[in-house]
Amino acid sequence: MELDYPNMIASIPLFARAAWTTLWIAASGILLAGAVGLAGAFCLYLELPYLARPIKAYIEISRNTPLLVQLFLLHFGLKVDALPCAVMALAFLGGGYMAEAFRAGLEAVERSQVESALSLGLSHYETVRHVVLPQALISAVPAIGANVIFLLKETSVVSVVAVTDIVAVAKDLISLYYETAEALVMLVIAYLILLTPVCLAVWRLERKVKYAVFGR
Amino acid sequence: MSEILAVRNLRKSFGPHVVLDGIDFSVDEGKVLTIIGASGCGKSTLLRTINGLEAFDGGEIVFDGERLGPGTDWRRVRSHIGMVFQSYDLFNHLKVIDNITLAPIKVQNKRKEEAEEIAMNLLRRIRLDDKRNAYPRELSGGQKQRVAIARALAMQPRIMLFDEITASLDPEMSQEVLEALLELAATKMTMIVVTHEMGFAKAIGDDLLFMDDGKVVERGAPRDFFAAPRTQRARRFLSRFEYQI
Ligand SMILES: Nc1ncnc2c1ncn2[C@@H]1O[C@H](COP(=O)(O)OP(=O)(O)OP(=O)(O)O)[C@@H](O)[C@H]1O
Ligand SMILES: [Mg+2]
Repeated sequence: MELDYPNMIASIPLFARAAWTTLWIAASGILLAGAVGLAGAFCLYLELPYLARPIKAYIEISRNTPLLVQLFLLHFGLKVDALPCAVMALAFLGGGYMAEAFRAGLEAVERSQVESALSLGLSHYETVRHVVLPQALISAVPAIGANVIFLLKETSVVSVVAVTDIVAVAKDLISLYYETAEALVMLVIAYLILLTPVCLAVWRLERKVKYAVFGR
Repeated sequence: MSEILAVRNLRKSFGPHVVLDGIDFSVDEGKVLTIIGASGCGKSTLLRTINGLEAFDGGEIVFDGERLGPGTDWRRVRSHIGMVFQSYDLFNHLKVIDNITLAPIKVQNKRKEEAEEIAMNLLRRIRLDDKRNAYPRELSGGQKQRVAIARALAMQPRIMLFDEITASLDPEMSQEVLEALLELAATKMTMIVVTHEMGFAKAIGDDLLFMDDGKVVERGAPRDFFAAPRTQRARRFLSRFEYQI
């Protein structure tokens, strides 16, 4: 295949700048999703009255509607600006997935762990803080890692609300020069550069934390 | 000899099911009370009411002169009552040493060095000081159970409750755990030991309760009980162990 290499190289600065936007959206969206998910999972774990139903509904809705539709609703329906809209939609979607990951982690901690902590004199708060939460987080590491990678990839649809991410750059280049293959190859490379370190980091964390404590 | 724990007419039901049906006994300081009885007769429930993991419906529990119940500061009381369960329940994410020092540091506000010194002394006593930096998953069942005992002892409790702590161990491992208990009894630690090991019940206890169906059916010196059980129910219970051997 003949590619227009000079033009591809010339597009690097455009992709680089847009990569920051992609990363920024991903990082803030994922952090918010983590906070939402942890809070939601905690409320379910503590069986707080009145909250369980709405939280479960949120988890189902967020996981069963496409990000594209969530973006449309926020941007065109609720008139949220493009960039905050992208972050909010990602956090909304990711919050549901993160809640499930944390919930599974919390449930993996056996009830008897709580009883032996209490019988040592630890308060309920100390038991959650020093016994339940650390183990829940450790066993949730693989699921959370998978969610992070999934959400990072999901950012590829945010350009539908006029955010200049790397997909938007590729689309612009295609409409400017009609060099579809070149733009898409650059896009693939850009995603590989963004995702590979994250995948490696997740993989290492899994090995380090999870296997050390729970074995394989 | 002063009485440290008294249980009077203790009652507890799960729904319609009466599990503790008027239990009476007391334990003097420095003594070992063994409790035996068929599965489901309420032994675990009894131990769990003593340290507040289970609420009770009637009667009273007096620990060290204090009536336990709904208003009790369980955090303080539990720090004086050590409990070890069948399933060890070491904290999986903490190394052996941190399993032992967690409660002394958080509950008794001990300095880390002080807590670690206590922990190391206990680990030396159970000959596991070389495992101080191991994670629970790296230990055998018997080692885990001995660490669980050390973890409870690190709080310097007034009394220790043991709930069938050898039930999930093979004979060799239960042997090492039972030996640890005998050593502990020799230090005059007050203990209540629930066990299915009749030989052990005979060897360790100063006093023995035989429970059946939520009631104390016999109480006495272990030697007398095993030599000549007074009730039909106790004879039937003991006969089950004979043909096992
Ligand atoms: N949380 C609970 N809810 C309902 N019933 C319970 C509960 N815990 C225990 N029981 C019932 O109470 C009875 C006594 O249980 P307990 O665990 O105290 O028996 P046990 O003497 O310790 O038996 P084992 O020797 O098998 O350990 C059993 O019939 C059990 O099914
Ligand atoms: Mg039991």
